Amino acid sequence: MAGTLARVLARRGHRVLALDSDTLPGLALSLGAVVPDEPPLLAAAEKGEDGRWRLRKGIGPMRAVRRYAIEAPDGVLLLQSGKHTDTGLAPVMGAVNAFYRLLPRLKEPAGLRDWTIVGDLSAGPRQTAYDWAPYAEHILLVVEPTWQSMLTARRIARIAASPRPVKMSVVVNKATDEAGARRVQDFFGEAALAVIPADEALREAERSGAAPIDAAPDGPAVAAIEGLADALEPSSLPA
Amino acid sequence: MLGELEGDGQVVVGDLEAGIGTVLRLQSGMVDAVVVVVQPTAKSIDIAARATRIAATRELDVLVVANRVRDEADLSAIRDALGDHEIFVIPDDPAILRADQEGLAPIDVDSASPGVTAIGELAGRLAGSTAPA
Amino acid sequence: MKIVVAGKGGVGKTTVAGTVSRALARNGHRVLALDADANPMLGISLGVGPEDTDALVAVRQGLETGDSEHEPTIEGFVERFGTDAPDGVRLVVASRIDQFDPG
Repeated sequence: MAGTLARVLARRGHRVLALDSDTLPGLALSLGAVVPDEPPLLAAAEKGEDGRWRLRKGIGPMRAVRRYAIEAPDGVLLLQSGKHTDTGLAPVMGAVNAFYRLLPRLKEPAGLRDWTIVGDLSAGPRQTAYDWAPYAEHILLVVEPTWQSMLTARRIARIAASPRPVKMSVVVNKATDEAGARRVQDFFGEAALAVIPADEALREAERSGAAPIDAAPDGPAVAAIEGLADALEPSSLPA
Repeated sequence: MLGELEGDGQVVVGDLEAGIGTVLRLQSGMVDAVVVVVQPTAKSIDIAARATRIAATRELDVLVVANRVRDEADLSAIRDALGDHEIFVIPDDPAILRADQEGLAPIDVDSASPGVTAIGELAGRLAGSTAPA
Repeated sequence: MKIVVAGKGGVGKTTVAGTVSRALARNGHRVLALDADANPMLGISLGVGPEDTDALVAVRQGLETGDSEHEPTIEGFVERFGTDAPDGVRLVVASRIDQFDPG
């Protein structure tokens, strides 16, 4: 969903930076981006005399985006954390560290100020707790109409809400019927910002690893994500 | 914790954290079987392939479970990547979806539905159908 | 015997683990279901119920700070902090939410 939203926003004229903190592959496929074997951000990091990772001299958020972001279609740029290798994360820890050092600094450069940044978190509450909540302006809780998904989203919402409140909205995903979408909204006690239906046209895309916006552009899921983009426009958000 | 638990006639079924971080921490002899669950999606197949490769380097027995399989195309996608391993198929099952939506155990929603039945056969394959003495 | 279930999030790993546990128990085995996910949900697939499953996490986090020191053996831990699921399955939530792990 994050990947499709990023492409939709880019087509509407936003300058979009997509962030992928998952150490397993995912967002690039949803974006339709081709990813190099070695994580680009590996080149952004070095070990200091104390043995700890740090950004290389002269590498800040703007330069990192210009040099190490992966190009995706529609002009979307993807900044990606290191991915697990068969021996673990050790070979790419430089890229993981670089990613997390850059994350809190993305609001610094004037050059990124009017960008729309779409971050895709790993599933589950842990990353929210440790990494993302402090930096997000708006958290979209993507919830499927299952209890596993609803409980997880509730855990995330609770973690993200402390120590300071952050704007959160529910997006129902893979809704198979009205009842399921209603169950999610009743659970959270609020209307969803968007309800994305289960989309048969997406099945083939998911099976082959194609980006939904490329493989099923006319399907109901992409249409609903266009609706989500509408809902996210500043003028349409409630005060 | 896994390494310290005694077998002593009981079966321990561990639901690992999603991903491969936990598989990377498994060592030879620590468990009797690693069940790698996969759906017919490129992303889950990629992760399953990594998990099975890692498990193999640690000489762990791997069983691949293809979940939510609807047709031959689904099964082919999984076989193409993981065909070296024994693949156990669980068909897409409305009863399991209903269970997830209602917060119930699938076995309580319909123990005779195709998906639940298949998982029951998987259980038999893993630990036999008669209890140890 | 010890079985672990792995896979990408959302593939049905927990559903499989929980249903296998119940099936094994119905076949006469003594089953210990171990939820090692940092986001514990195994109770739902076992039939413990969603809100009760969610409550288990809270209990677990409360215990992590102190009580676990008083249980010298894993068996003692399971005995004391496990919960009963249907068909006699014993469930223990063993998540390690305290340990940061980027992967």
